[in-house]
Amino acid sequence: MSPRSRVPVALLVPAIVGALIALLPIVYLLDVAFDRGFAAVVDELWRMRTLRLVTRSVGLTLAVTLAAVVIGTFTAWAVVLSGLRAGTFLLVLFSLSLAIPSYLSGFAWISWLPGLSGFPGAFIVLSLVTYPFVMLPVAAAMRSIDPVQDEVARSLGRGPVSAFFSVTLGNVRGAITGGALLVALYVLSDFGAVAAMRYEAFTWVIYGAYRAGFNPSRAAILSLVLVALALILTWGELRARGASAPSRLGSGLARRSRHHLSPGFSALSMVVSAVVVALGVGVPVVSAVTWLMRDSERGLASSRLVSSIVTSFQIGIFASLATVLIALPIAIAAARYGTSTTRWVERSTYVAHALPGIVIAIAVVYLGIRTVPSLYQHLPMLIFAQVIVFLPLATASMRSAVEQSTASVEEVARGLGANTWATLVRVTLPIAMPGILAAAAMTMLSSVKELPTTLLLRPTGVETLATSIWTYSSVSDYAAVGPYAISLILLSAVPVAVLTVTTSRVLRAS
Amino acid sequence: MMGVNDALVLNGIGHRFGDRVVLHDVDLAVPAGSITAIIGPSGEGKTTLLRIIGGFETPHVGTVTIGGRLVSAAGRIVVPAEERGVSLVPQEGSLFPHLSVAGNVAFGLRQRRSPSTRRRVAEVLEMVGLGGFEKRRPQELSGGMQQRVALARALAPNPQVVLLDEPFAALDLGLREQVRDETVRALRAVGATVVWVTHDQQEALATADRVAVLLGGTINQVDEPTTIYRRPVSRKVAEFVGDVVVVQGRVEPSGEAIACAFGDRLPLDARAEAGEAHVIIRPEQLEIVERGSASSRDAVVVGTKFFGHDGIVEVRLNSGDEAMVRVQADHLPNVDDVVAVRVNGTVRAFAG
Repeated sequence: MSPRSRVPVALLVPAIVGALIALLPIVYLLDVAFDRGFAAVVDELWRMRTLRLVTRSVGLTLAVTLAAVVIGTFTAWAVVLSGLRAGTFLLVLFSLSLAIPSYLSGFAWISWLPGLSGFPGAFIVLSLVTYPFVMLPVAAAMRSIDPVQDEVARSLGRGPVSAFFSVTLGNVRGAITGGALLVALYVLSDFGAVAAMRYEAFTWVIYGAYRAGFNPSRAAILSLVLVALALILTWGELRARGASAPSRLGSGLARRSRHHLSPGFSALSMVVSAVVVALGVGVPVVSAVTWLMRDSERGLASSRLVSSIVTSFQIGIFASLATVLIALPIAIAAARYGTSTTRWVERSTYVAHALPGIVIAIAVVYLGIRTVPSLYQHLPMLIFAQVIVFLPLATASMRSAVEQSTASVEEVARGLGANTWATLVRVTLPIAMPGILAAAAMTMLSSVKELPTTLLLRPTGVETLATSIWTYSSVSDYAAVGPYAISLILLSAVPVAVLTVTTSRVLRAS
Repeated sequence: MMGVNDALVLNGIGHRFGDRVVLHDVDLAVPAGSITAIIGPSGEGKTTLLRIIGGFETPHVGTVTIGGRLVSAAGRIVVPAEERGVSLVPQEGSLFPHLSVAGNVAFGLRQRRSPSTRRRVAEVLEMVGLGGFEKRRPQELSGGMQQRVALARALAPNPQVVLLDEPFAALDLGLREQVRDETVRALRAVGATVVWVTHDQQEALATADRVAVLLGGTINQVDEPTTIYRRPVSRKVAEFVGDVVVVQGRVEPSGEAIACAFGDRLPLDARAEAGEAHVIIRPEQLEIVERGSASSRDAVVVGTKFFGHDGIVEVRLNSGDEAMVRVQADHLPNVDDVVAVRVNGTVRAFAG
């Protein structure tokens, strides 16, 4: 698409404001980190414990990414190409892994096997939570592979295994890379699993520095190192997204390729799939149910449970409304106007994508105390922090929703007498509406599950589902966690299941 | 060359993308109620020119005038796209996916829910052969139907100019001809002024009133289809609008005939400068005749192509020049046969 006329001011101003909000934490962190001068920063960075911290975080990230790539590629293959029955059912079960918050999985594992505390536990939990990040894009790529390619490879003398490695994996390489980078970014930013496992990775140590009395500059310096690592991954992920070109050239028959397996191999694949589901979904669900059984008196209907569900959704609705309103101008400007300003605006939201929730939370706490102390631990400040957390994903998904309407559709509207605003209201927004609503719903659910900003910024005396689970689990009162855990699993799993089934139906229909 | 009757006039249009010049010195006048086709190879700026007319691109130099009103002038848009009355029929139809067929067609009308609008929608849908399709969704329609709805949508507000951007390129061959004929009938019925961009010269020659040949970023020739085909202004235009046989020759001093491998004195259709020149012959001007016939030349058959209704014979003359001859399919000779070839009618010569 060729660059078009100037961005209307009424669109540009809110978009720039949104971008500035996204950049605010970084600006603030830089300010705090260099508070005591450049030498102090260098001094902090050169300490042995900082180096060890980097090693631990990077080590965990590498190990989890590798595991997630293997599990994710296998599960994608099992769903799309293996010819195993119940492909959609399997896909839903696999995807549920992602729906369960990492802190909940973490507490489930640690309550079951206390010995896992530290690296092994964090590794297991994060691998099981993140492999869908690889599975989903790889499954989509595998669906679009032209089956004729496999047949051509076979006709050229390749065996089924060799054809799989050269043709199938070759086709999905871009998807694997993209998924792996998402996994790495997730692991680096994750707070819940490492906190549950008490593994001294960046986020846990930053949280510690924040809790252990005020050493804001150390927390800020460590945050900046973490952000730098995450920015590298974000940059790589953007590059990979651009590079994963469609694997199908020309319009072929829409036939899906299938591998025909021997009965033994097929049974083995089924068993491995079942184990993955049992570990990823089974362990947290069974733990939650066991916790619930242990404590039949307090039960599901306690008023405290109801009030934390209501609070979670209140926060979720506000956060999602605010996020969508701020993200929409950015999404429209980025999708429709390729000027240098809009590119800059969109990139600032990518930067926010590299900010772990705990870092955003701490930045907003410090910033809030300094500028508007009356709002500290009041709802607006929590919403503000969550907007920064969810802005990148909401912008990205709404941008692609806006791109659903091609530029040529808009030109037709202009030719028929509709001006820029009329075109936006009568054509662009109606076409993008399903995507915008989906982004709003996803933001709300993410907000319900979100832990770090809620933990640090929630209004005094207010408990949400996430903070209740955190509070009870931290003191190993698992019996009390039960009802909250079950509620949260149901709330996050049902939408994911529905979404997975509908998208795979849509994919099959098209 | 500008007449009062011209609905659209382009004057000295030039356009660049970065350093790359895509259009220069483009002049074109489109008479009201006519269909003008712009033909040219892909990537030569046809679509850019269309977007300049529509107001979606600003030309770096030159002016666009629609209905006597200046709408674009060097570097600025005087009248924005939505006020030009120029409706667009893009390549894939680009129907609004969230609106019904009726919603699409009524989009450009002032009142969208009045009885007069409903009548107008029914009327234009009838015109494109889709009467009664008002309630359907675009997704339920075939490619050809979508394209006809796009046409109805463009015609509904009685635009000053209708722009067609390769409107049938996405359709398959059999359908394309049918939809094209129906489109032309509908456009002529309402007397629309049409600018039609295509890379398919057959399509342009068969349907347009006038054809503009866009080569090398500028319009080389604007004429009626027969003139474009029979009297191209340059070898490049001749080669673009149809098959040609080109051989080296020498124009005699009178300037009225040329000597070449096909004959010593082939008559020229226009006086040319004496000296070295290229002779341009259309394959249908060549004929295979009895050997030894007057003004024929012997040639060896090097290949044949059979098309059913007719065929092509590829021959090599003694001079080494090769040529294609269009023949009746029941007269296909065999490869290596020696035949005699004669040129009918006048030929064109271009210096160089």
